[in-house]
Amino acid sequence: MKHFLPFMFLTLLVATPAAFAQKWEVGVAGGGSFYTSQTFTSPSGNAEGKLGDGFIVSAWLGNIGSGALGGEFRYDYDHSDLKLPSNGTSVNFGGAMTNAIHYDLVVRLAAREAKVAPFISFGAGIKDYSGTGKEQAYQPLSDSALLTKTSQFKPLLAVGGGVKFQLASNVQFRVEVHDFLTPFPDKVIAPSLGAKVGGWLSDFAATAGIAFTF
Amino acid sequence: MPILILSPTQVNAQMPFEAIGNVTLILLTPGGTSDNYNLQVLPTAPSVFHITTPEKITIPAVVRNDDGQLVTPSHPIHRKGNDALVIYTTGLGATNPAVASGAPAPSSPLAVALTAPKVTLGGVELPLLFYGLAPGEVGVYQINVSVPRNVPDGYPVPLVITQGGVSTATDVRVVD
Repeated sequence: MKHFLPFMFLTLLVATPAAFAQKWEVGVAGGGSFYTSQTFTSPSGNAEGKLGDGFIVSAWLGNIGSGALGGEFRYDYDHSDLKLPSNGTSVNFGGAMTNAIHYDLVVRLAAREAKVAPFISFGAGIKDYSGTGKEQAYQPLSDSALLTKTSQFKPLLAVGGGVKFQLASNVQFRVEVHDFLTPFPDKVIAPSLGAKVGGWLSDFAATAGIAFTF
Repeated sequence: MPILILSPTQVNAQMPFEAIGNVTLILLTPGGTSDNYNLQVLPTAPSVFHITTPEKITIPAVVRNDDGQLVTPSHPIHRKGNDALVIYTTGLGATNPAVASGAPAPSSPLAVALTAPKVTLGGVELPLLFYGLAPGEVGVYQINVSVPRNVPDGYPVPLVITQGGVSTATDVRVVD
């Protein structure tokens, strides 16, 4: 988190001049997040490492182009937990959170004046995973994976889509789904000696929110 | 030798501070006398105590000062947490003030080892806060160190204690 806010500020600062001539949109949304898992393989057995289902809050600042294309800087906060299930045993850490910023291209799939406008989006950014629970000297399944109170940045790919509903001339309600993809955070949920993990982690998020244009 | 623990299969005893050089160990029991066991006792020979957990895992007796719990892979050292560590060892040698063999170590004044150890974590030397006999314990030493931010993270990271030309190493996990 040390460099997170300066990075976000710098990113916005660099992007602001290019967006001066465009129409702006600012919004917030909330909803649920649902993670996939990755398998830790070790000589003593396998375990699944993941973040538990949680809630997500998003805020964005978007520029709406004259055509179908626009863009959004987004910040996402996700509150969850670290989980390690294996053969009927499940270990919870007691807390986890993620902070992500990304820039998404937004493709509007309806006319600009349409009251209901589907859209798709895709972009990239960074995501910070943090274990916030309590470390224990003896953690079950520690021969497979270690739930850790630490932070780790990972590159982020974001794909999504949704529908914008025009409620008033400058107010929109929107529902959307996203898949936030990162390499597995292998320092926060770390493999034990002799264990291996790899691959990507998907965070499926479904949100509803409101946006104001100006 | 001051005997600390006696069982049918094990005797824990303190090597007297006065025993230096080539010595002979003999076990005398009501059932008989053992053969001679010849060994060389160095002035210093540090070695970290190890503990076997209920899960049958053997871990070094290194304690994180912030919560008093043992350092384990799931309770690692944090290099950005200003952690201080307490490492429980044997073999740090003579102290000032001297403590009689078999006597608990004093808490005031603390019994400081005459030869300062050097402790490194991942090759980075750790600042020493204390090295000497653990107060109230018999023949148990402790080394208190702080952990700077520039130690490497990972697992395993070697924790090495060197004193009087003798080194001992154990592996720990270090994270941010």
